[in-house]
Amino acid sequence: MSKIKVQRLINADQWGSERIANAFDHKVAFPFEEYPGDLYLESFEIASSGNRLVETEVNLAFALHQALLPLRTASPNIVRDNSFWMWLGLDVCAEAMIERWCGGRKSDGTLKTPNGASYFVAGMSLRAQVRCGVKRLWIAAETSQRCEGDYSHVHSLLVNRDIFVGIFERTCGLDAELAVELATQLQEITKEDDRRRVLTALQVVLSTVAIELLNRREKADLVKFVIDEFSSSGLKVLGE
Amino acid sequence: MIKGYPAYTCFGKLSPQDGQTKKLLRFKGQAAWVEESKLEAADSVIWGEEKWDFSGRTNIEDIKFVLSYKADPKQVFDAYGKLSADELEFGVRVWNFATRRRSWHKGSFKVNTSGNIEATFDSSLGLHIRLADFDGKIEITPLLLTTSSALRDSKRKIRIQRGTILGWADPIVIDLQAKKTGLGSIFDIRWKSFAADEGAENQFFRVEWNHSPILYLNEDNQMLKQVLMTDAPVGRAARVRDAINSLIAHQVISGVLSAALFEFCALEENGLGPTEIIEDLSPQNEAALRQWGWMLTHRGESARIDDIASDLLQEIESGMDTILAERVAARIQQEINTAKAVDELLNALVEDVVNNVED
Repeated sequence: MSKIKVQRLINADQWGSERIANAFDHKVAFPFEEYPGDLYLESFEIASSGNRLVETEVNLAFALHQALLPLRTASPNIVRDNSFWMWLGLDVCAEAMIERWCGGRKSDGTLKTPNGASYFVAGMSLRAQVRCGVKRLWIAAETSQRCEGDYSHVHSLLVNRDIFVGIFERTCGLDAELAVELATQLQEITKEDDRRRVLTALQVVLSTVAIELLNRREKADLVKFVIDEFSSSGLKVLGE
Repeated sequence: MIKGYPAYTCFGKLSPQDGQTKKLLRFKGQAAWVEESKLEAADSVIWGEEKWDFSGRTNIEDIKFVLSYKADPKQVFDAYGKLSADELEFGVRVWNFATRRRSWHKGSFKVNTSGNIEATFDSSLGLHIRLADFDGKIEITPLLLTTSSALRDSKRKIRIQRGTILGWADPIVIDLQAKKTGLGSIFDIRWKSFAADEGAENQFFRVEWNHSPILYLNEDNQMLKQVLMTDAPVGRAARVRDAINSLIAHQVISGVLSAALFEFCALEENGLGPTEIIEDLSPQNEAALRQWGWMLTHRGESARIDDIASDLLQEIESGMDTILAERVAARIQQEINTAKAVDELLNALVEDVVNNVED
């Protein structure tokens, strides 16, 4: 996979899932001459579903984040290069991503669900970042590191896909402490509709509050306040 | 992005202080900072009112700026009582999605002798913007916040919490995108009240077509502003936003392409060749042809203005009428995918009708 090919893949509209799926035929080594440094990442397996899915995703998130540390030190800007994330998905982590997002391969080697190949595309918007199979794992690990200095929250961030997308597609996901508080507290809510209502309400509240000024405790209290007010039998005025 | 008035606070907008803002940039490999007023014409277009446009520029290392605002605190004092300086904080909030940054940078403020708040933010005191460290768009929003955790809004009878936004100014967007697309590739897009512009009250956008083209959107229509500024990727607001954007793009691109073609033909009648025509075109008409001219020819390389000019010369031999009346409308629809925007809007309408019937 040459870098030019990876860059062309960035425009998913032009390429479409099938052509992305076909791109797996051509693999080459680390193609980013402008970023000094090396990447050592052993191949990892990801379960496509079931109880092992989260466990294997957490393991890969940890390994990926660790592997990127020396490369980021040498080339800090590599983590915002979309073609880098796409290359990781299409080359280094290809089989894990195929298993996770395309349901694995058929006996003839083609993808079971080619539509899932959209998760190999990376973009700059929050939505596109969250919907990139490899980058979402890195986001979880990076968020936990920024919040706590370790990987203790990676599991709670990845355990529920709906919660993960709900948090990180929004600007509240840019604040590591708030993201962790949300992931932790939203898991207490069992109904998906309730969780979405809380996230919608939180966005409204955050249009009037600068969370950048708040400490961890205040962020936790803010999330609790919104959950108490807007989930379940609370007010139903938002997101309806 | 603050859209409309925050629901829970009593204050309002901070007004920029005329003549107090300073903007400086430093070119790569040079030590000296260059002030806005000292830049050459080609670079002076960088600094818009609310958009600082560094897209496609690779020769600039970093920037620094001083922002200055004033506000009449009567409303806030009416609601919250007389506040002390310890209960307020002014600064800027910085968002950059590409690098996943979200941070707060403190500025300073004072209450002057006439009771007004004067707030200043100097980026050199703590916000270093080295352009290579960012990507996409940086959004800088000046905010006046309360640092008190016991503030009570006596008008609405609610307690507001620490960090609540009491005053804000429109955000400044620093555009670092390598390649611009859409109307933003040519226009500096600004929100402005049309109330004072004679004959413009009923317009929702207006074009200023000169060497630095500006597309004004009518700020008096707050609903329009809320919809067009929504970041929603999907949903009703996104559908309406996309449809309105298509409508504006159609009219604007048709208009500016017509203007560019008009001048192009006038120069052609003087017997000039394609390269000379391009050189003699006004900067805005050249920019329009460079950006959208390929829509008229659909031949050669879309990025080569000389190819476009050469093909256009052949096209206009068969008459301008067809190009303007038929091809422009058809190709713009293709280019900006108008059909998709309209389809999605219609689907939303159908969903509403079905839901109403079911209710």
